[in-house]
Amino acid sequence: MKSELTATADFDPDRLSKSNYLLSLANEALRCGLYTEEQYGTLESRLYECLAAKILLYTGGRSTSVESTAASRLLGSLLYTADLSLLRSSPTDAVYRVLTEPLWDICEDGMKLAGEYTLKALYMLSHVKKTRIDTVCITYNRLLNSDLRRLIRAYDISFDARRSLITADYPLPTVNKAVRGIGGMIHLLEELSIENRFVNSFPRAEFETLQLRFAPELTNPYGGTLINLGQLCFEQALLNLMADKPAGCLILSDADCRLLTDRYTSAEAYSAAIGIVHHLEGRAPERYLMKLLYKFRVSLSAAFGGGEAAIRNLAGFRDR
Amino acid sequence: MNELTSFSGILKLNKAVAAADAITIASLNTFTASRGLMLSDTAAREVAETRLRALRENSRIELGTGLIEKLILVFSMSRYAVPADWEELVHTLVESFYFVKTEAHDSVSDNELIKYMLDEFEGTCEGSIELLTQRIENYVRELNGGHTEETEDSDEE
Repeated sequence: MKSELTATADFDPDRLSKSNYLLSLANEALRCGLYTEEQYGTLESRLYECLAAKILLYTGGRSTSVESTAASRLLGSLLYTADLSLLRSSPTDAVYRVLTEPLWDICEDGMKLAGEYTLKALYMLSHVKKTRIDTVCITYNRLLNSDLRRLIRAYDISFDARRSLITADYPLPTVNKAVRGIGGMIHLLEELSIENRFVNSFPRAEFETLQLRFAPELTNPYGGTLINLGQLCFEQALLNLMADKPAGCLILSDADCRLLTDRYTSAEAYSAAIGIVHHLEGRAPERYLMKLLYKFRVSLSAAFGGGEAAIRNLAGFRDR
Repeated sequence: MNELTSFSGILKLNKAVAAADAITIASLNTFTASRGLMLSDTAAREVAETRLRALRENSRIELGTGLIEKLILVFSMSRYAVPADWEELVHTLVESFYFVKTEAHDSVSDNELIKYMLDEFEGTCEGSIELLTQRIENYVRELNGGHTEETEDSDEE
């Protein structure tokens, strides 16, 4: 049977969604005829039975019904853990497993994996803390000192495995917020690790001066402007490069701001930034830098369209 | 709620489900008929629809009809359960049950709630469905820490 499944050429792995793997797998298998309507219906029934069992576990056998929000969490947990397990198999193997293995066993396997990933996340957190940025940024420090550990510790594999573990206090521009559960936390920690390396690659004196310039935003998280340290360093480093300063400089002078104002129009600034971003590549992966550049696009164009005052503001001068 | 709508067949609260549930509910006549407590096919269908509506109105999800079966079987043993009021009683029980579960934030288990409802029905209410409804409403307030005139009156009694 497995060979029959794998032999079907119509099966298109590109149609599968990693964040909704089991369901997209079943839909694709149905679309290309690997599953019959009956088999698809059986899968629905098995999921239904698993959810009923999960509800009983969740209520400790005290209730056969739960509020819709709880049911959604429980079903999300089942699907998330099933996805973790199935994603370890090739797509065609996963199609076969869904048909032949008890769905509950697949979910249990996924729960074990989620447990292992939780330990991995705690290990990664300790690494992120060891390489942390020495900064006055309150939201960054709070994230590393308490928020991340609390989130990982509170992660509920059994009943809320799909919960988003991304926090909102410290902005993380390169994190894909669609990645949920413990997988999302691992992704977040990977990005934080890259950010630490990136920011710490700049001369300490430059970073200290930059922090002084942006101290109001970094030390007052309720002031309205939340700053990501990687984004801040990236933007200032890029502006310095645009002003012909060596890679690694983070502080623009008055003269640099005047030079930038005279040199680039709003339309030219972004193109120029694209042309020189490679100077930062030794400090972080290209994809990380490109995401930061994309985030910078709007404020960069706006600043260069707003004259010297806007560029000075972007550079952290407090003229008013 | 995306997950709940991803599968076409799972958790759908619709007429097809009500029809299937009605068959299960009507099959309970086998156990209740000896006391003359019967639900016709139409009545069973209406009870199934009441259950789905009650679940929807109280934002609840329940898989299977195990609870409604338990309600019917337990109350069919009551000396106050009579054929003339049986259908109305079942509707009231179903509506009240899910109302209490959600309003009391699941602080009471299925069995505890069924026992409370039966005790009230056979005790204070002496088989009055109307009184049972009032007592259940008061029960919810008590569970949520509130007090009412009715509870104070009944305490005095």
